[in-house]
Amino acid sequence: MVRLSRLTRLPKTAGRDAGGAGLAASAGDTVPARTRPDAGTAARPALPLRDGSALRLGAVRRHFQVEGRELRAVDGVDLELEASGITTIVGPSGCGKTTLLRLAAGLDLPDSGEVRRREDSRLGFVFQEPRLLRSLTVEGNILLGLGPGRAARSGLARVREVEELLGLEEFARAYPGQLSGGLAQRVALGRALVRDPELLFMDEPFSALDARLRRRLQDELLSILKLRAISVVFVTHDLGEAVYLGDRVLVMREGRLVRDERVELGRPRDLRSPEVHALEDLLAAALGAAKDNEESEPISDAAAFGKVSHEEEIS
Amino acid sequence: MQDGEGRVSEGERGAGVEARRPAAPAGSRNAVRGRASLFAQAATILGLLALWQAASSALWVNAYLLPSPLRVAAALLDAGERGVLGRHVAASLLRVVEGFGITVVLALPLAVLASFAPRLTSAFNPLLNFLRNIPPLALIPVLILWLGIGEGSKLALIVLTSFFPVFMGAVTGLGNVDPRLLEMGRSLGFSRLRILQRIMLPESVPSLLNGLRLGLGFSWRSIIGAEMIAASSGLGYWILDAEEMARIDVVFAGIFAIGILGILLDRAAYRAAARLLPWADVRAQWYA
Repeated sequence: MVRLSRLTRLPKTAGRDAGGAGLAASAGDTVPARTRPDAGTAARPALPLRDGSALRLGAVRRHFQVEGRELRAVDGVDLELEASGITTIVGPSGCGKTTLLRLAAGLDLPDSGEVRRREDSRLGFVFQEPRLLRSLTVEGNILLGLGPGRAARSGLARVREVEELLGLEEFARAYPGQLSGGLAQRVALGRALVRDPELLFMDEPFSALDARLRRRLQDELLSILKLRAISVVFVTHDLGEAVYLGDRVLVMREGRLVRDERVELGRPRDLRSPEVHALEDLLAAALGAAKDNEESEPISDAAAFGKVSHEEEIS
Repeated sequence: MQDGEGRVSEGERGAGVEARRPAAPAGSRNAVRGRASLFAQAATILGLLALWQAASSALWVNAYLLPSPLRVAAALLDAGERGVLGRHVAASLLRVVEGFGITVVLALPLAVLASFAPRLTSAFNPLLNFLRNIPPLALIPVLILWLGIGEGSKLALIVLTSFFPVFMGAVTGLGNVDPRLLEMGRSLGFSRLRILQRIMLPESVPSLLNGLRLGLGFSWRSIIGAEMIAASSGLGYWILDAEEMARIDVVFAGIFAIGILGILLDRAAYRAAARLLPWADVRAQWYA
């Protein structure tokens, strides 16, 4: 049986571990497995990327050593994503979803398996916290997303567009220290969108916001994405959010994707409708947790884990 | 309607955006409090001066051990009129500016190097700690022996005094940059150099600033010490010269000149920092 405390600590440890590991892993087209004797990828043929696919993961594994124990953050994940649409990955904290996202985005390297993206594909990443530079204004922070290649003038025009899109015009000259949480996260979204990304990775970007503001940003995100061909991978622990946003919902548990559901419901979605409830029940069963009837209530991590550990004990 | 932190709530701003209001403008409570504390500070200084003058006038203290404030002021004015004060102040200030400039040019690149080569740095740690614990004034005989009694030994002394605060401030700042920001940089495809330029250096500015301020203060104090040992100009020399002439009022004039200039240097550094770094809460840091 895996002990609770260790599991819940997993994604944070994973993040810190890889964050300190160096700056070498930049976003390339193909991310090979790290060279380890046991990786065993040398003989594997390169994973093909089909037309219309934005991302493909093949047998991706990433384990961490935490206090002498091996933690299987990502334990053999196969996944193919289309060039547009929102894929939400839902799972309790500690299930490895953040690690999976970082692997997919090239912020971490798998122990084995392969991550394929289109050559020179533009990536955007929105983290759980805004991660803005306090020394730059809102405009400067968004401009940062463009990178050094773009000419300053055309770049600034792009930044203005994004500011307008996100309702940030009147805060262009403000510093992050003057912004509220919701505004700061909008700026972080702007920094990713200004790159005109083909793949957008979002790691629980709205989880720190209150319910009303969260719903508002979810709706804004949907309306922005409606007009663009962006493949979004959105990680959340909130089943309601996963169903509200996702064109496709993946359930992750203990390092594995255990359920893959296409969501054929129209938008805007009514989280009280019977169709949504049926879908949520289906997904909750896969999560191993009883579905909470409260709308948009996050799945209690402890409850989810209690169930998981219990099942393991039986088996 | 605002909450306690002055943020405008989401519902009230139709645009769906909320921002903290900028710092209160002049004339508000803060400004009033600032004026009140300025008044209290001035009253304290004037009160002490008055007490001192009263003690001198009533002959409670020996005029040779403690000259009256009026005599000290007269000595300062006299030195100012004859150009002596200006010459010594200029000599001391020039040394600090030069020496401190050398420190900054040396310490910042070394700090960047240290943060990128932690293993190399740790090999040098014992040596750095050894040097850090030697009071620079103890090195004056060695410096004079090696560099003579000219400007070289004085600049070396300032560099030795101010190097460690500046270096340590920069190393601490660079080392404590939030790793999540570094990851953000990588997610934008930044190179190591670009992460250094765009993220690490600006993020480490507050800590660096602290080191610069400490270093500047140390420089000022050490140069006066150096001038008392081997110099023919500067405020330190002026004080020592006055002592030999038994001009205790001039000694005190020199002491006051040093203290007041030290405050002015610190204020000038504060002004520069606040202007250059509008985003950093320089004021809170300075008066913490």
